[in-house]
Amino acid sequence: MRTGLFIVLCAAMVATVAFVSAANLSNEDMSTSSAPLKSGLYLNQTQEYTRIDLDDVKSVIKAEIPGVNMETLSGGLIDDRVYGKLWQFTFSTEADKSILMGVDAESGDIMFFFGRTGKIAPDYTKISLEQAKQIALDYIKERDGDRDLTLVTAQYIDPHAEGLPGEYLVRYSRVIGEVRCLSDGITVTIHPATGCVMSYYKSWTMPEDQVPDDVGMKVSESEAAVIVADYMAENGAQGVRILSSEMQWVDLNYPASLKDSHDIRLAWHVRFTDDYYRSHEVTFPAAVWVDAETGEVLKCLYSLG
Amino acid sequence: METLKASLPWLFALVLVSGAIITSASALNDCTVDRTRVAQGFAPPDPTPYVNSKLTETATSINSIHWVNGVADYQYSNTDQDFINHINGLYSSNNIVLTHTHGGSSGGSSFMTFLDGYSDLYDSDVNNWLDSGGYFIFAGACKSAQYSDLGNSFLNKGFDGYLGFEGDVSSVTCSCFYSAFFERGRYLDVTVSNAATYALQTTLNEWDDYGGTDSKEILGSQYLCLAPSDW
Repeated sequence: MRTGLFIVLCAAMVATVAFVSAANLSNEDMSTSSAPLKSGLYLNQTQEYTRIDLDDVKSVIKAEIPGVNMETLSGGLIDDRVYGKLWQFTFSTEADKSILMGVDAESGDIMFFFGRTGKIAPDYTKISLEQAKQIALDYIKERDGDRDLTLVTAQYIDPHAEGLPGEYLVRYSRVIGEVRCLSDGITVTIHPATGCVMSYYKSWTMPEDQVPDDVGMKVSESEAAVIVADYMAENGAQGVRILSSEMQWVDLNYPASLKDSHDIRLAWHVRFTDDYYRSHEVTFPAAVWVDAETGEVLKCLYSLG
Repeated sequence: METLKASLPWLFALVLVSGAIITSASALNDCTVDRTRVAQGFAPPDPTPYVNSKLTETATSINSIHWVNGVADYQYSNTDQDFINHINGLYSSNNIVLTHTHGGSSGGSSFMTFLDGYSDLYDSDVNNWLDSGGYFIFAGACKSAQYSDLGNSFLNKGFDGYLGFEGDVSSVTCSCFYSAFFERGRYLDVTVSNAATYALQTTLNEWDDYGGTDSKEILGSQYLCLAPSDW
């Protein structure tokens, strides 16, 4: 009787431990790591069909980044909220300690890579901003073909930390119907001495069939400025001074992947400053997005801290 | 059959005890998110829903890191010492800490301030109050890294990394930045440096401006990973 009870209790305890382990430590995860991961962080490569498999993505990495140490490859297949199914890996090379790369699991396109620092060279070999822009443009054309893009930013950025090189940052935005998209575009950084492409970041989330093609622009640029000034005054702001206005496609559901629903509006992006910003000597502008069809205030960048 | 019947009450008790063990295990929070900035209130128009949603996303991301047991979610820290006590009260000495609050600098030192508005947290306070340990702290506050003294005080206590801002930051871009930072940093072997670069791009895509987040400073190793595979 007692032996039977003991056996039943032992069996129940083993079952309980197994249940707890299954709940906390994923059995679904399958990455290149032996670390026990939590459920949902990585997708099960054997159960998820993707056009690009692990061997394909390894080939993509090798082709893009010379000198990859494949033994350092760490990561796996994830369900990213912006990119959807994405192969994401970190790895080192002879020159770089850690590079992060994301590859679209359906198309095999590189969506981003960061952490390629290259060699640190003396400043006298620094390439010009114009040269950096051309390198970035050539790289984007080679990788993405002829996309409808517009140059938004091209600037030199000082090193983020001691021992790292500075970089040229070149940012292009996607254009749909001659209007710039706020969230979509391609950013490339260029090594200031070697011209090496140090990072690449692509965001292409707006499905063109969800971009409204019958928007009636009923709010002019000057009317948008008045709406912003009135709106901020109602909220207690004083001395509002408009700095710039630009028409943009704005996705109110960003970040959302291509498969998700989007709420895309044509909007005036109005940058401004006011007494509060000036008194704090804030180095960036405040901003409001105004729906160009309805005059509705869509989003606001104002509060500090 | 007799044996099975006799053991049913025991089995029931065992299930209850197991449930209690599982519940208490999940309460062993070793990381924390501090929402003081929301409690402090914003200059209108009010971005509270947006900032709160980003804080919740961040807590979820931290909780998904393989070694994390749980995330203590504080609505606010009333004083600087409360904030430190919240860290000291965490289970285990490996902690990820995120605070979003006001900050500033004075006399060559950075500080963060909490709900009471005057008990500023300086490096000397960290030296006096914080127990040894830590892992990574995200100091989401204006000028929290204008001077390195505040960040270094956390590193000296055992934290391996500190991310703060040299200048002012916008409330919404700051919250957008840390949400994207932890979203990417929760994956295996992603360095804080690469996670921060990703977060900057995400911030730019959502707000068309860094809103001060490009003044980020990482103290400690740039190659620190929040989720190292060799943990």
